[in-house]
Amino acid sequence: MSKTILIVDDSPTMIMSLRATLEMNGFTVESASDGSQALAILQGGLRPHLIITDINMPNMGGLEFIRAARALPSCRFIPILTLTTESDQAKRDESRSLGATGWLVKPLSGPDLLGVIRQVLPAAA
Amino acid sequence: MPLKPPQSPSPPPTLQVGAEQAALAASFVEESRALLEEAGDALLALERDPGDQGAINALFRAVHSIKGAAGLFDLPALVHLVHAGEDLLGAMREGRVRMDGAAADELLEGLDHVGQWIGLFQQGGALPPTAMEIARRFAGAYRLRLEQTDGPAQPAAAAGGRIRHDWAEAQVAAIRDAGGQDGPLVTVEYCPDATCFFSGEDPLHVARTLPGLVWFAIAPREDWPAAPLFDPYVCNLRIRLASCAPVEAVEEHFRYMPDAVTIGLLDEVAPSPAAAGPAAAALPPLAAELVEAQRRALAEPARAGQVDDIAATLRNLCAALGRPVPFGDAPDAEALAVAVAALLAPGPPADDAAAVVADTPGDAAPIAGPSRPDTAERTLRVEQGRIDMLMNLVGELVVAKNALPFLARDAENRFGSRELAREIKDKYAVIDRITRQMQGAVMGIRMMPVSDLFKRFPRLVRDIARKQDKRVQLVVEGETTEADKNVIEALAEPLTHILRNSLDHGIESGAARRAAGKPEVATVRLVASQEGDSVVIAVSDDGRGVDPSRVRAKAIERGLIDAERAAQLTDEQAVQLVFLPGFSTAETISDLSGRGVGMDAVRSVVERLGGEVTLRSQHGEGTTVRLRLPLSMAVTRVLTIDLAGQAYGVPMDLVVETVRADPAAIRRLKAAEAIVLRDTVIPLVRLRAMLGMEPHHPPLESVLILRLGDAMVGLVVDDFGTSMDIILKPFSGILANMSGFSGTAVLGDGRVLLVLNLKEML
Amino acid sequence: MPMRLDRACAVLEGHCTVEEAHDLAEWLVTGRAREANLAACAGLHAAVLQCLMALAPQIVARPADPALGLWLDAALPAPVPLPPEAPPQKAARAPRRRRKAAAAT
Repeated sequence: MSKTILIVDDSPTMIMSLRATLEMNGFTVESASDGSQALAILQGGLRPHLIITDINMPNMGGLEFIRAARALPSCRFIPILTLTTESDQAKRDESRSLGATGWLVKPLSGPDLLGVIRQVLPAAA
Repeated sequence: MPLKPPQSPSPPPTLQVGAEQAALAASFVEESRALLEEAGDALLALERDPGDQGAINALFRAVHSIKGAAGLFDLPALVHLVHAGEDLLGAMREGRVRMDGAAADELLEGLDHVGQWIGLFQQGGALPPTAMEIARRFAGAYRLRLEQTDGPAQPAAAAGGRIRHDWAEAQVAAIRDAGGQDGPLVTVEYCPDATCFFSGEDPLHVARTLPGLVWFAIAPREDWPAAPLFDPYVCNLRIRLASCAPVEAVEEHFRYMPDAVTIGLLDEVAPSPAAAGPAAAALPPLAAELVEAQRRALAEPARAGQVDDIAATLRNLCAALGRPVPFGDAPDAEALAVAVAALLAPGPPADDAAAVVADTPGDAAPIAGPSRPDTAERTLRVEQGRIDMLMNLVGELVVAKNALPFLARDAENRFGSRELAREIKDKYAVIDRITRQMQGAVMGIRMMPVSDLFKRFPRLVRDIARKQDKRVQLVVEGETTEADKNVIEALAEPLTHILRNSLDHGIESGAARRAAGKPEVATVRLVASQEGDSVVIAVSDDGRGVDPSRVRAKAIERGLIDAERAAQLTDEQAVQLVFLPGFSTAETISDLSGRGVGMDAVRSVVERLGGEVTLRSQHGEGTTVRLRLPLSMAVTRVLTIDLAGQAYGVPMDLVVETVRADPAAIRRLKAAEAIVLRDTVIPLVRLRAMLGMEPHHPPLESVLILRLGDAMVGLVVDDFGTSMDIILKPFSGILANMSGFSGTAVLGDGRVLLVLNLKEML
Repeated sequence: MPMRLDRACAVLEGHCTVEEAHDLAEWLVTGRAREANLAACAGLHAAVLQCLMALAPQIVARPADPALGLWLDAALPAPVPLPPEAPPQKAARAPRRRRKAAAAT
């Protein structure tokens, strides 16, 4: 069974790019354009194996989303990676303290992305 | 505990080979344009009110998003500029720097450059050589503003000396034994945070995937509490590890949990001079990063199958950098590893190469010759027949793929294996995805710009105008818009006809234009653009427009409509009558506008291609005819329906929803039937009656709610099937004129699906 | 199903996730499970491993996956072949007695 990854980003290009790489590697990809939409998807019963979220988004940003998602019983243990830029050190630390597992640095290369995912996602169930 | 050999923890990932690069680039261009517009608006708002927090947030987000998306492409100058802008905006957002008129000017000007570059990227894919200089200038200006209030950026903290782990010294023999020889080993003491499970961290997984892992030990950090007090979600582990990987790789591995680890060295050795540092000086940073990524890819044994991809990347990179390619035509992994090491090595290999060139007899020109094909864009001229064959094969693949859901259903229903069914469905999803990508790729090859079609029209317009003694200028826009070759080719005739119509009937004589106070030279505009999945071509003129009363009169005269109905039509509806078969408004049929062919011919061609035509006209001011066509015409998604045991297809884009209705809920008004759905009355049409079949009265009626133009219609069928992609084959031969159907498709189980042409039937 | 209870034996199969640690801990603490069978276990979350370490059920079958087996051996006392050094063995046995005592109360 393929693993599901939820991508939360307000940039359709970023979603398209991540989706292409991930789907080519056998992941199932769900996406949301901001934190509140993602939260609604999670409350709707989706149990992704991994969540990748941008930080700067309209409506509900990434940090607020992480805090809210971690409060959901079904999302206590799901690895969450934030999409950050190299200059976002403060944001990374803050997201870690809110329960993010790690971060990805934009721009992303396919091998880097897959490398990080392999690091936080245990081998296939 | 020894562990040999270090294992790759999961199946090999595949590199994305850029099949969707073009779509990605197009999306990036579109998105960035919208973001730039947003940013521009926000900047202007900020200039008016520097305290507008909403505007600064919007601006920051827009610039941030552009940077993120641009990073997917090789646009270093653009990223550089936007990055500096983002830093400045970040400071403004936090109130560290104030926005003022001069800062807004600088930012706007920078964004203008970004806009230009995106335009250039869209056209040619590359930025001009001056771009980086411009980017540096702006980045410098932005940074200057930052530093004025901020002070210089903090230098990164110097890395401290390596610690030594006592336990490692104590067990050196065991660890050394596991590590094999006496190379340097990195030791790690990893005490995950007690709450780490709630951050998605799995310390065991982290430990097991440590690069170069040679030895490990695992124990509770503190004594376990008594069983009833034990909480499995309080992490109480202490993991000790030894690795033969470089210390940088180990640090990288634990970068998400720096506080949980201490990293030591078992053998203090002099740092290797070939570390990553100097490489950055030899190659531009982005290139170094790329090469480094290739090196990592090569280092994974599971990547053996991707040597070609890696070689291609390196080749392109070398071409872009103007360096010789440091390997042959079909390099193996080893040759690539050597090449990568050479590229990453300190010192400029380009100079070495230049020296070799200088040593060879003769001047430089002949040497430059053979290397040129590497740098030039590679294009291939391919006979159209081959592309068509590829297209047909992809089409067959789509059909063959559609057999899998049937197989899955059989597996479950006939052979009772739900598991097998699920597995088939999983495999189907994979094949489905690949097929779609293939289809996209092949369709991409078939795309051609409308300029190929448009280039014939200036001549046509000039010739007709001269013959009729009219003065007309043709303005052509959007020639780079692309569409499928078949679509473009099929449009030649309708467009010719529309243009002729416009010149014949629309554009007045010079005298009439002067009398109407219009410029003597008439303007005809031919504009192509892409809207979503469609290409839109509009032909507009500033002529006399269509006279609704004359159209009404002509339609009545030709018996196409009765006087009563004609009078009920609005002017806008009346002008649409020109699309009726057999209509022509010209007083005399001009020898130019084609004999017996009117706008109805245009409409039928366009609708056959799955498009639509609209006509807008302002009497006295001009006419616009808009053709909207699908970008490509390969695959149609249909919903299958069942009627007397035969499967029919209904184009999915017409289907609004499917409803099972109690016959009692169907209202009858004389002969007509209707159903009320969410307060809307929807007329019903029985497909059986339309096809002259026996009526059928099941306990629940299956109603397909369709949207046809602006109207909703309920189509009563026997049953609904599933949705699927088909390759629609139009009827040919004696069936070519069969009305009611747009074509056939072969289903995965071999049955033939008749696809209903509902626009025509209803 | 990565984990099930077969009489008094917790059978761990496939990849046991962090979510499973809760049930496993409960089975072992309440004494509903006293043994663990890891023959078909392909992977363990650290939280599950912690349960095995802290609550020390009798391991009746080691994982077929040799790499995982090495990690278990490092964390738990080997069931049959005794490791040469005595102290870790003693230390590892102690918690099990403690569990039994706790379960008896």
